Amino acid sequence: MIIALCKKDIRSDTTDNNISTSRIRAFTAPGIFKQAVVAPLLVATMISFADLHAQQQPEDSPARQEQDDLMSLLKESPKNSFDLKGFAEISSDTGLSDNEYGEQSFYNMGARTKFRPAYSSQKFKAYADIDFFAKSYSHVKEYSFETSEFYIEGGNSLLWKTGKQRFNWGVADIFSIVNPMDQIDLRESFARDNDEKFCGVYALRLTYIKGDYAIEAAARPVTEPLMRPAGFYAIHADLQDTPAGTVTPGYKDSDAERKIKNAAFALRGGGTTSGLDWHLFVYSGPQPRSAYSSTLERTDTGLNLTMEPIFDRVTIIGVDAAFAMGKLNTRFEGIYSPDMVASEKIDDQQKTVAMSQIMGGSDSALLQDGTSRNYYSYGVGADYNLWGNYGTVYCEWMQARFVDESDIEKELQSDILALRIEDSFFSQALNLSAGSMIRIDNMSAGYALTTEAEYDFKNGLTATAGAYYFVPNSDTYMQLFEDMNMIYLRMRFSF
Amino acid sequence: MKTANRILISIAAIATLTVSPLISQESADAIMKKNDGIPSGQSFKREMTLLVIKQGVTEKKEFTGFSKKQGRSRRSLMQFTHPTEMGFLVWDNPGEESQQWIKLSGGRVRRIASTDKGKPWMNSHFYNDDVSEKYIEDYKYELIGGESVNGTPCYKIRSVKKGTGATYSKTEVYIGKEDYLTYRVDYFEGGRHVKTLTLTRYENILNIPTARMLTMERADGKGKSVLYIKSIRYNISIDDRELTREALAK
Repeated sequence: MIIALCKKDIRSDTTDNNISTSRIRAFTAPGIFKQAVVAPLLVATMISFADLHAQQQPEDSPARQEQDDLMSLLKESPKNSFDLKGFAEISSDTGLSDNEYGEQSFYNMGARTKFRPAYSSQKFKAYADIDFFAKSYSHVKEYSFETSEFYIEGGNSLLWKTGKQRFNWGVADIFSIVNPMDQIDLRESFARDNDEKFCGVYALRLTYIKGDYAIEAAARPVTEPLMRPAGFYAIHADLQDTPAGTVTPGYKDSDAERKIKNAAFALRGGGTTSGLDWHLFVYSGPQPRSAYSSTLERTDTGLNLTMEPIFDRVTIIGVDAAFAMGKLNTRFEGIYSPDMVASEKIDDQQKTVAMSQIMGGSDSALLQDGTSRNYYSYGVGADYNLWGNYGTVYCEWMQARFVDESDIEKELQSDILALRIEDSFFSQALNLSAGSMIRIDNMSAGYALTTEAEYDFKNGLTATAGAYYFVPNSDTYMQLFEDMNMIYLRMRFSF
Repeated sequence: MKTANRILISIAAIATLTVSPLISQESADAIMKKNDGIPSGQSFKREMTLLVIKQGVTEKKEFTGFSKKQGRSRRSLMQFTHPTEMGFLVWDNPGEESQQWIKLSGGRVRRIASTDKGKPWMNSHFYNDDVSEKYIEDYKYELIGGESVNGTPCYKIRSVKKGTGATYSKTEVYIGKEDYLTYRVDYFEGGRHVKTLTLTRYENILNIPTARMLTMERADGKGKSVLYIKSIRYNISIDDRELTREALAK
């Protein structure tokens, strides 16, 4: 009879929460039923436990004990509109070569706490990603906090998202080419996750999805360079001692100097067609690569070479695509710009002209300016499962070129082949990876070697040890990293 | 004529003996057809908990699953909320390889290669292949006996995927003799029994029998994963746009 009652009630109900309610109806008083309707989730949990405990297991049997343990873990988590995630991390870096302060080896200690609060309601979701850093270098202590993301989003047919956010465009694993809307973060040289590779930017994004395709419109005010740190690539090693004295290079990259008053707009569409994931976009805004104008200025002690970043408005069109073929996952990213700005090459004639102006009494002389050119960049990549579940090799090649490079400084980040191999052991507790970046620009290619071991204790705690080692040879690009050889250790607790 | 009849009868007898495996084959197909015919809902939303138990350490993951059928095609989205925010999207179409994407915690969406279907799904004992739809015509079935699973009398049916590219070399499926529900599946790789799926705590929701607990256990006993449905709503309205790669990336 009771079974019959249950069956009847079950058929008339719509959710398993209500099923629990129906069972209560069969076993208990109407008063409890009313309470169950008010709090169905709670009742579902209660009944689940009641059912389980009613199973035919002797109370002291190991199977019963295991089942009890499992069920306590499966216990319903309280449903909250507010959620807080994040991690706390301590790290140490030990330098293996001279750093920028001339120290033979450096030792940095750091602590970082990340909070990711989120609030969800029926109509919108609010989310933030906030970092607190405390770093103790050999020479200085530094405390800072950054808000990588802070946005609200909502919408039904038309999705909207406004605030500080990451766009995460593109499919590349290592070199991001088609993501001009985000700010590239170069402080973590070999970061792989997008939340380490990109800083969030203030923007408004509207997305309309129809079928398997989406079209997205985005606008963002641009108030600072699209890469951090701003002066990363600008180094003029060939201009030091001149007839007018020793040149001290410097960048106009203080907070006040690198303010930009501009805006970026982008339109992107794409989706999935016959197993191919693809997107096309058009972008108009400050250029995402770095170019500089340089000015020689006379001082009491000699000459200053002041380099000022150029962020002229450029137009970029781009495409990305991903396709899986058996064990091979392939990716492509490419962009073209008709007006990307490059820095003019400083030749002997320009040096002579500038020096003659200084020697002739001028306080300053323009040494180098920017010039617009046709530009393209592309990257192709693949990963291939070599063995087991996780033994995978990743390979990516990228190239960037101005169509006419005879009188301009070539794109430094180009002609790079990245290789990485990784595997996991002990049920994915131990993750090992090793990689290399080879700059194939001349016969004496520079290269970098990296290795990392991570152990996941499966209780929120992970320990990581790794090393970077750069062999720049005569390669200008790799020479930028030569003081970054290091061993690092990290302990992170995620909550 | 009589001789001819006797020959015909003999041929028929021989034919009967020869096709007796075919008769059980038909039985297996009929059983599986009844199993396949059990309603699974045009759409559903599930709140789920996944426990992954490896080497004595238990990892708890929580996610919401959405699924919608269009004809015989099905699309499913799993949005993980704990411990990290990740997503997993599956598109299944009859006669085609299942398409799958994963959204990593950093926000990047990656397509999963077809040969990665035999890789662990979300670091559990389920494989990526286990979360995709199975189409009855893609497999050959053979009734190989009967056995009880937790007291329920079951048919034991061997299932082998037709063609190449199978994740498992075979599976042995235990189908209830009375209700045609799946109670257990033994998975084999290279002929070796590697893991067992047990479906328990069946409940009837809108006439849709639903196993609330699915336990995938390694055959050597060294670990298991438990998938538990905390709540489910069937035949609800799910916008097609929610089940696209573009929505996963948002």
